[in-house]
Formats: sequence, structure tokens, C-alpha cells
Amino acid sequence: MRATLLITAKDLRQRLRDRSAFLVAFVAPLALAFAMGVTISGFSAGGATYQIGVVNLDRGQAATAFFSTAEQAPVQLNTEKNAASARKRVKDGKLDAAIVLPRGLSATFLGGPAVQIDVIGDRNNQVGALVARALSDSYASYARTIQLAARALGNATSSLQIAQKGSSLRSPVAVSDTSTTRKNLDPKTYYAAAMAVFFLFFAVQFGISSLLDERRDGTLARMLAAPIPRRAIVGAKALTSVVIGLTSMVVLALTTHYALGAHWGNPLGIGVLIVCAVLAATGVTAFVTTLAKTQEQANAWLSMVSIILGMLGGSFFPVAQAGGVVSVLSKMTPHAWFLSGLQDLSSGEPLSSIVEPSIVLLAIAAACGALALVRVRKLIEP
Amino acid sequence: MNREQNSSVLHCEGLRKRFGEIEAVRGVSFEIAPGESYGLLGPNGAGKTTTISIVAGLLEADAGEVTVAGNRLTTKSVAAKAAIGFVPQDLAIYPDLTARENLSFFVKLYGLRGKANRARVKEVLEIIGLSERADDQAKKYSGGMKRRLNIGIGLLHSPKLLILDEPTVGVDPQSRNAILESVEQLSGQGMAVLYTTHYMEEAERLCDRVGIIDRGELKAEGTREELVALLGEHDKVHLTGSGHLEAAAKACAEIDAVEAASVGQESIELLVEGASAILPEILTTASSAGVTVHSVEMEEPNLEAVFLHLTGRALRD
Repeated sequence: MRATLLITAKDLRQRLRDRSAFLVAFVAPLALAFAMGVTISGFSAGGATYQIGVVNLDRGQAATAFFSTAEQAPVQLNTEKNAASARKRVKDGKLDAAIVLPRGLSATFLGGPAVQIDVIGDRNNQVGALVARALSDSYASYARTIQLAARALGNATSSLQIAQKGSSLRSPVAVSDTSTTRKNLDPKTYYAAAMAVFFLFFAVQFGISSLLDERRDGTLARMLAAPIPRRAIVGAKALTSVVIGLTSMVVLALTTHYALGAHWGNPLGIGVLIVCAVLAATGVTAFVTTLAKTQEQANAWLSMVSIILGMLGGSFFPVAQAGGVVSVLSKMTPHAWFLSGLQDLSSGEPLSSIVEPSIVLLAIAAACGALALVRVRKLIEP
Repeated sequence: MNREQNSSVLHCEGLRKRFGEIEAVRGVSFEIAPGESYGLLGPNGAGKTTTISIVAGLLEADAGEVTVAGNRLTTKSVAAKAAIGFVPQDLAIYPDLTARENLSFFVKLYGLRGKANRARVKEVLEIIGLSERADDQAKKYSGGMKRRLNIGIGLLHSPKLLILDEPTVGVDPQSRNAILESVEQLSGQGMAVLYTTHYMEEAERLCDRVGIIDRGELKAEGTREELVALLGEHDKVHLTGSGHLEAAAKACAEIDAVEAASVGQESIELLVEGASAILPEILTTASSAGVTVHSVEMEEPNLEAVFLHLTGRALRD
């Protein structure tokens, strides 16, 4: 154990003098987390409020009911003078989309002719157009329900009264979205965590893959000639990876919390998830390193694996929402499990919610670590 | 050095090592007494580095046994390894650590800590002449300084056996001389030295005894005089010239008195019995084979001639 600590201390001293380790472990993830959190702040549906313009050409009770039904949606309704000005503001990006309530909308409830609600969107903001469309569809469905109710009562003139009463009544069916909206992290937290776990896979490389540097430089032969067990050398390299990984993650969590306002959640749960993620990253990195023959080969393969796992795991965008094969593949990455655990914690779920992600991360660490141990013997021969 | 008076520091018996189809070491046996310098002389690929890797505890032999300071050596043995100082062929230092940090790290691996560590590091820094630059990162050193640090690491724990694997390869003449002087000093202080080289002059200068190794086999061993005596009345003839050297060497080898012939760079080396008498025939044969001879030298028998005699080829082949 003493030899392991001695070699680890030497490795860490080397890493402290290596600016690239500092850049990869701290500077790059912080910079990217900040940049992505700010620029893609509208990506996460959970925290977004859409600016929807409403051109009220009806000016009747039906239009008032529209405003009432839209209250629960994550939108801010802005009254616009006419369709042309609404279209311009949408084009200028000042509105996400606009809805035109036509003249005669209230009259339809009194048996008048059918009318059409227009949605004004912009091809560069498809999500905004979809939200406006959903609002309009919801209102159309609501209008049809009122009409049916009035017909059932046999009195068409009561439609507006029903609509008025209906808009003030609480729905007997409440919708609670516990799986998406509530568990979605705000962009700052999401990208802080995503970048931290993405760069974790690069940071831990400075430990385990330095075994190849030592072999190339002849210092491994020197250590092998010393009266220390070989497992001490391998153990030290893994320990160096773990220490660098933990330091990187903890510093990033604290910095993004205090400097960027990221909300990582329960510190104990976060601590457990970080430890498990670091172990998983070390295991994966160790295994890939043992497949390589040279440091250059290891660097290339590790970068490729880190980027692929990062992309599939949702480090750049929540890829799991894509569904299908991508979603399944995403579940095979440590990144996805780490972020999933973090989302549970952040949404106020109990600590027990991270048991599953933690077990999966530890299983990845154990499986890859075991494979690495089998293969590492070849690496520690001179 | 009287070997019989001392028990050996290193004893190797029947070492064998195979890498796939190639048997790199084939039944190598030798021993080294305290204070003795033993040279393993052979060309590249002769099996020197593999033998040394086994003796340093880096590689496990397929067969045979190594004992260092009375302890059986394997890749896992602690006591035997603690008695060995190892200086690899290439620079094996951490360039981003200072000389002091390099030395301190490696000596800790041998269990020396605290004051004893600092004292020994200081002592070795003085021996290798790096005290003034001890706190500079090794990457800022000259090639010679790095070489000295490389050797210093091997000396740190005052080993009973110092193994140097071709420490002068790729070194400038000045640094080479400094390394050879250091090894002479260490040997004089009672440290057993195992030194591999393919430079005949180094083996002759440094080593009390030399083992000649070729194709994984130890062909002969002994003092320089003992080995040269193997040649009997043979002389070494060195021809320089131009033309069909290969053909000329082959033709010369047909002469009865010529025991071995090898071609070098614009030269032919011959091991000849009674060279003075046969020299005219050699020159005629070389000319007939299409070689214009520029010079002829008859040399005192040396280890290179012994190597030629034992293996039929030159050390540099």
C-alpha cells in the first residue's frame, strides 16, 4: 500500500505540473458548461416559458375563455394589434409564435359558421410553433366539447354560458407530469453536470494511461526492478485516475453551484453518484488503455470512446428523449446513468432514487475493471 | 580480484527465455563476485538485454535460476531485488521532476525514507555532479547530465549488484568517458557490476571478466587474457578497400589458414593462423575477387577477434 501511495503521489505531482491536465479537468468543462448553459437555455422544456402573441379579432367571450384555458400552459400571452405585426415580431424573434383568434369566434358558440384559428410560426423556432399549435388544438377541442354539451341540453344559446362557467371550473382530471417536466434539470445544472461527466472521461486518462508513458520512457522497467509488488504500480495508476476524477468533479460541482447557480441537489446523493461515476470512468478508461499498444494509440481510442459515450449519454443534448435505438444505447453509457441519477435528486426524489444508477455505474466499473486487470499483465512487462 | 575467495553476488544457472518461435536466451550460466565487473559482450540481438531483464527481475525465465546476494530472484522477490541497482539502456527518468525528486522517488521505492532518504539523495547528487542543478527539472538538463542522473538512480540504495544495460549507446564521447569512469570507481568500491555492451573497447577497459554471448548462448567467458588465449596463434587482419568485398571475403575464407572472414564498412576482417606467412596469398585472392586494397593492418588479438573466432562473424554484424 505504501508503494501504491508513493507512486500515486509522484503521478499527482507530475499532473500538477502538466497544464493540459488542468485544462482538461477544470477549465474546459467549466467553460463549456457555462457556454452551453447560457446559449442553449431554452433547450430544456422544464424551465422554458414561451412568448406567444395573440391577435384578438373576436373581442368576445370566446376569446376571454381562450385566455383562461391557456393559463396553465408554460406560455406568456402577449396581445398583438393585428396579424401583420404579430408575423413581424415572430420573424424578428421577439415572439416564439402567434395565434390569430378570428372574428366570429364567439358567434360559433351561438350556432354561427365555423371559423379558423391561424397559427403564425417561424421555421427557425419550430418548438414555439408547436406550442402555439398545441394551445390552439386544445382550445378547438374545448370548443367542440362545449358545443356537444349545449346540443345535449338542446339549447344552442347556452353554449356561451357553458363556456363561461366551464372556464372557471376546476377540471375533474388533474395532470401531473412527474417523468419529464418536473425531473428536467435547468440548463445550467444540466450542462454543468453533462460537461463534468464528459470531461471526467478525459481527466481520468491522466492516471491509468500513464502506464504506457512509463513503459515507453523506461521508468516502468525501473519500478518493476524495485522491490515492490507489480499490483502496487497498477493500483497506483488507478488511484491516480480516481483522485484526479474526484477532484475534477467536486471542483466543477462546487464552482458551477456557486458561480453559475447550478442546482446539483442533495450533497450526499451527489457525492455517491460522483464516486460511482469516477469509478466507472476509471474502469472504462483502464480497459480501453489495456487494448492499446502505445500511448498514441491509447489517446486516440480513449478520445473516440469518450466522445461517443458522451454523445450517446446526453452530454451535449438529452439524447435519451430521441427514443428508439438511440435511447437504448444511451442507457449503456455511464453518462446517461449519472445524469439520470442527478435528475432524480434534483427533482427532490429521495436518496433511494440513486440506488439504481449507482449500482449500474458500479457494475460498469467492475466489469471494465475486471477486463482491464486480465489484460494489464501484458502492459507491465518491459 | 580473486573470485574464489568470495561467495558470488550473482549466480545464474541455465537461463532460458523464449518469445514465441524465437529462443532469445539459451542456457546462459555465469556468476559475479563482489567487486567484480562482468561484461556481457555481444552484437545487437545477441540476447544481452533479455538476459539482463531476467537478472534484474523484470522478466521471468522459462527455465533456470538466478540468485542475488544469496536470495533466489523472481519477478516477485523483494529481498533479491533490493540488492540490485538497475540502469536501463534508455534514459529512464521523469523529465518533469527535478533531479532531487527523481532520486527521492526511486530511493523511497527501496524503503529509504525521512532523513536517511534526504542524506542519500544528497550524497548521490554529489557523486553524479548534479548538486548545483538538483532542483531544476530534468528536462532542462543536457544529454550528459540526464545520463548521469539515469545512472545515479541505479546507485541510490547502495546495491550489491549494479546492472548497466548498454549505458553508452547514443552518448557523446565526453559523457561516455564520464560513464566509464563512474563504473570503474563503483567497481573499485566493492560493488559487483554487470555491464552489457557491444563495444569491445568498453568490455576490455571495464570488465574483470567477459562473457561472449551470441544468438542467446554464452559462447565463452573469462578474463581478457583467458579469452584471447582461445585464439592460439591466430592474428586479426584488417583490410580496407573497395570493390566486391563480399566476394573477396568469401574467397579469402577458402584459404586454409583463414579461420573466419567478415565484411565491414569498406573493410574485411580475417582471423588468420600465421598471418605473416599467408598475407601475400590473402592480398592476391582479394585482388582476384575484384577488390582494390587500400591498406592492410595486422592487429594484436583482442575480444573482437575472439568473437569472430567463436561465432564466425564480427561484433557489429
